[in-house]
Amino acid sequence: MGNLKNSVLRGLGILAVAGMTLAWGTAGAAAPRRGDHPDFTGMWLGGDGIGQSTTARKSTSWPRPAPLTEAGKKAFEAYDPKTDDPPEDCMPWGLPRNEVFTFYPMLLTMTDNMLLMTLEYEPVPRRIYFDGRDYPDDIPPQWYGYSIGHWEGDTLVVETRNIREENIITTDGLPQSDQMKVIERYRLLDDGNTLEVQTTAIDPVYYTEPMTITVYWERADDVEQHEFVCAEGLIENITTPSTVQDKELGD
Amino acid sequence: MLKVSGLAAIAIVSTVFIAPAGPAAAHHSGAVYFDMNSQITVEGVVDEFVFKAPHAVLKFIVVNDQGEQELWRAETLPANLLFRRGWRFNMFEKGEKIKVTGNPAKEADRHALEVQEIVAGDGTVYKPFD
Repeated sequence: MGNLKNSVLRGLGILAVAGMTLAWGTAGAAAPRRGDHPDFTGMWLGGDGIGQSTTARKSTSWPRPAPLTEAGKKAFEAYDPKTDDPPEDCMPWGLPRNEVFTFYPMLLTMTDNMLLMTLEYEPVPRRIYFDGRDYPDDIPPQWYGYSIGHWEGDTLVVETRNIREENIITTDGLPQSDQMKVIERYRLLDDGNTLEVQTTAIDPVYYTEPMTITVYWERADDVEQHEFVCAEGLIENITTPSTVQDKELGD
Repeated sequence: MLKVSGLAAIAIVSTVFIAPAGPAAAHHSGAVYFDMNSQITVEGVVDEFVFKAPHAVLKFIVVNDQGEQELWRAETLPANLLFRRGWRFNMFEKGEKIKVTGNPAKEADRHALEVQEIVAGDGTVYKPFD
């Protein structure tokens, strides 16, 4: 009897925990916070991997036609995807090209003064500081630039400078210059189950006006990230299969 | 049309105009290296399934009309994306008969295609873009 009672109590306890877990994501549940700010920590996913968004809210695309300057048109027309696309050589996708890659899970880890972004397809995490520091002047350009954020209410506003100019904004070759700045605005919606990222690229060399996209991610804590070692693909000859020469049969 | 050798069925090549599913999530746009406006179907036996980044590649051996072996490459999405769509690294066995339909390499002398469909030895159909 005592055992049965204990089992029932334990069962109720499990139900209570399950109920609390289910409460996340239901109407009225509070979005997670860390100190005075929302906490973006968690796994996020927004696409099915074959071009479809899986979020209820609809993400936007970079404006087409893009508002290119004359120099921008020239660079866009000169773009050759076989030679001018850094990830073909397993370089990072970089900022802001990464913004639309919602079909790979993104792990965000927030501390009191920093947001660490682990993108499945990149070899290193991206760091966004909001501890009051200033931009350094002795660091060479980076694929994700140097990102400093500040809070405007519950929105984390991030400005990134010092981005590698040899990268491109889109797979079809919209260019970026070393003058480009990227402003991102991160906020939680839907009781913390949706992350909205609004991104504006400002590049007066190649564009006549700023360009903005808004992208949505859904909380996906049941999704795992796995290794994505592009460099191994170079060794295995699987980066550009139709152009590499395989070993002869029987070798 | 079908010629059978001791090892495997011959490549059946038929060109049709279709509206292919694009590898939007892939490492590069398929249109850079593959003719997305035509499809071919090739039969052979599995040599190796490289289930890695930045593209999973199924290498398979085809016997051509001259009776010679050719090593073909079927390129598809990165392993990470395929894993979440139910594909696994050990889903094809070396020596397994397969039939691959996809978009042929633009460079005609390359034995490669962008996968639209793989029919495994047991008849299971795998479509990366469905």
